[in-house]
Amino acid sequence: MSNGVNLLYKKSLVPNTLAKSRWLWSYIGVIILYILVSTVSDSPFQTFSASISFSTFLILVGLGQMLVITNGPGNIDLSIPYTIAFAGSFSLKVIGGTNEGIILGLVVAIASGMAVGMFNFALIRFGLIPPMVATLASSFIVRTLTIVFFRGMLIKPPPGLERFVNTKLLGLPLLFLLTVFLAVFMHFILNRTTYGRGIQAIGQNTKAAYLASVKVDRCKFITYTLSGLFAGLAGILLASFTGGATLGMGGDYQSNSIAVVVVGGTSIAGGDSNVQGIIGASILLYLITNFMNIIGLGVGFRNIITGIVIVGIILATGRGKGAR
Amino acid sequence: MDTQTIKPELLKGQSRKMSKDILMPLVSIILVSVPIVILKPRVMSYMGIYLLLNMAIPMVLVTIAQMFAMTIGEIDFSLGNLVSLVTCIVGTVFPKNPGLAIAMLASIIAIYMIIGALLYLRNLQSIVVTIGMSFIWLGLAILIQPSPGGNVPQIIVSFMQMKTPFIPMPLIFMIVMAFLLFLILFRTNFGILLRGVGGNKRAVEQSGHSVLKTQMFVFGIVGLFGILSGTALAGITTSADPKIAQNYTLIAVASVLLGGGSFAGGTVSGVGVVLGACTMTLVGTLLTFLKISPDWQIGTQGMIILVVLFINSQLKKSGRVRYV
Repeated sequence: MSNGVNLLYKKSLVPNTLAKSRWLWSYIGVIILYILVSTVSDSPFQTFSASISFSTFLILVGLGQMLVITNGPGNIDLSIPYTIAFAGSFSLKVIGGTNEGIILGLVVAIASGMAVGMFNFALIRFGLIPPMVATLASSFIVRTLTIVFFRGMLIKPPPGLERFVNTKLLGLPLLFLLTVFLAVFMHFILNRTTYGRGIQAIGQNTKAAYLASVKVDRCKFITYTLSGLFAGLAGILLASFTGGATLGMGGDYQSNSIAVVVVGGTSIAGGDSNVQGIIGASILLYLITNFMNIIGLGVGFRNIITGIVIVGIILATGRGKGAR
Repeated sequence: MDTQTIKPELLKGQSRKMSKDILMPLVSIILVSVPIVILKPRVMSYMGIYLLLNMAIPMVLVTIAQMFAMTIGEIDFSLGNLVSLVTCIVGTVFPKNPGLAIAMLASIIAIYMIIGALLYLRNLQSIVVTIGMSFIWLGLAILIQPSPGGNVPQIIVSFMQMKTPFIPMPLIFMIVMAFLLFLILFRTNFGILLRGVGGNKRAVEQSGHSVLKTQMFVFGIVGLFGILSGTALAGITTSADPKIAQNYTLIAVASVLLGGGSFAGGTVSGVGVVLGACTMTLVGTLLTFLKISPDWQIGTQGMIILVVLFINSQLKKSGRVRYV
C-alpha cells in the first residue's frame, strides 16, 4: 500500500473528540437544522416539536434495530416495516374503535411483534439462514398475512389512544418523553446487564464470546424478540398517531431504521452501540424533511438531501480502525 | 488461496467444486419449472419460453450486479432504486437529450467507482453507504419522472422483443450470460483476484495486488450491470417509473444466495446466479398458473426462499454448530 493511502486509511478527517463520539454528529446536525428552520419559519419550535413527534416511532424501531446490529456483521432486521403494519392493523382491529379494548390491543400489538421476532430467531438459529434473508422472507410472509386478514383497509384507532399519542407535556410530545425514558433504560440494559454486555461481546467476536460462556443463543433470541416487540409497539402507536393502520404504514422504516442506528454512531459491524445517537439521528431525519417542506422543495430533493446527509455523516465519522 | 501463481490444477479443482455448488440452484429451477410445464404444456414452445423468461432478463442482470458486490464481501442496498432511476433516464431523458442521458449513465458508473474506493480508503461498510445512495437515486428518479410515464426509445424496445431464429432470445441471453460469468470468474486472473478479495483481503494485498483498484473496478461493474438491468426493464415495460424496481435489491440478494453465493464473499457461481434469478422470476409465474391469489403470492415466495435456503444450509452443515 502506498504512503498516501496509508495516511488516509489511518487518519480521521475530523478532530479526535468528534471522531470518538460519533453520536455527537447527529446532534450537531439537529442544531444546524434548527437554526436553518428558524431562519425560514416564524415558529421554529413548533416545527421542532412536530419533528420529534414523528421521530418517536423511528427511535422505537431504531432501538430494536440497534440491538440486532450490535450482534455483529450480517445481523439486520428487515422485517420491521410489515411487523409495524401487521401489529398496527391487528391491534386496532381487536380494539374495535372503543376505549375498553386499549389494553388488549397493546397486548396484541406487543405479542404479534414478539411472535415475528421469535420466528426470525428460529429461522436464523435452526434454519441456519442468514439473518438478512431470513427476516426478509418472514417480512414477505407477514405482509401476506396483513393483506389476507386485514385487506389493507384503514382501521380507525380508538379515541382514547389517539388522544394519548397526541398529548403534550411542556410543549413536548408525551410519547417522545416516554420513548426517551425507554432509550435511557435500554442504555442501562446495554451497558450494565449480562444480556447487553453479552450482545456487545458477540458483535465483537462471536466465537470468543461463546468460549467466554456468553449464552449466544439466548442473547440472540432476546435480541430478535425485542426488535419485534419494539416494531409491534411502534405499529399500534403509529397507527393511532396517523389516524389508522394501513398496509404501507411501515414502508419508510426499512432503510430509515438502519440509517438512524448508523448515523447515530453504532457500528454496523457490531459490538459497539450507541443509544443517544439514535434519538439525535431520528430527530435529524424528520427535521430535514420538515425544513425541505417549509422551503417548498419536493419529495425528490428531500430524498437526495437525506441521502447526502447520511453518506456525508458516515464518511466523516468513518474511522480507519478494523471494522471487519 | 494462491493468487500469485495460477496453476492449471488449481483451476480444475475450482471448477469441480463449482459443479457441486450449482446442484442446489439446478434442483430448485427444475422444481419450479416442471410444474409450470405440467400445468401449461404450451410454454414449451418458442413463444412460451420467450414470455416466460423475458421478465427474468432484468432480474438476472441485477442479480449479477449484486453477485459482484457480494463476491468481494460487500452488498449493494441501492440497486433497486438505481434500476428504477435508469428506467427514468432511458425513458424520459434519452428521447429528449441523448447526450445528457449517456453522461448521466456514465456518471453513475463513476460514482460507483468512487464508492468502491471510499469503502476501502475509509474502511466503511457498504450496506450503510448504499442505503444513503438509495435515497439519492430515488430522489433523482422522482425529479426526472415523478410518476410512471416516459417514452422508451424504440430501438431498446425492439431489441427486447427481438425474435432470434429457433432459440428464443431470452434463453440465448441466459446461456451466454452464464457462460460469460463462468469465464470471467473461473478462467481469468481478475476472477481469481475477485474471489480472493472476498476470501481474504489481506492475503491479496500481501501478494502485491491492489485491493483498492480491484474494489473500484468491481463497483464499476456493479453499476454497469445495474444500468443494463434498468435499460432492459425499460425496454420490456416501455415505461419510466421511479419506483418500479424497489424490491429488486433484496430479491437480488436472495437470488445470489439461491445460486450458491454467500454473504461472507469469496464463493460464487455464475451459472448458479443465472439459475437463481430465473427461479425467483418463475416462482411468480408458477403461483399465477396455480391460481394462487395475488394476495398470497409474496408470502408464498418468502416461504419458498426459506425452504430452499433451509435445505441448502442443512446440506452444507458439517455437524458442528455454526453461528450465522
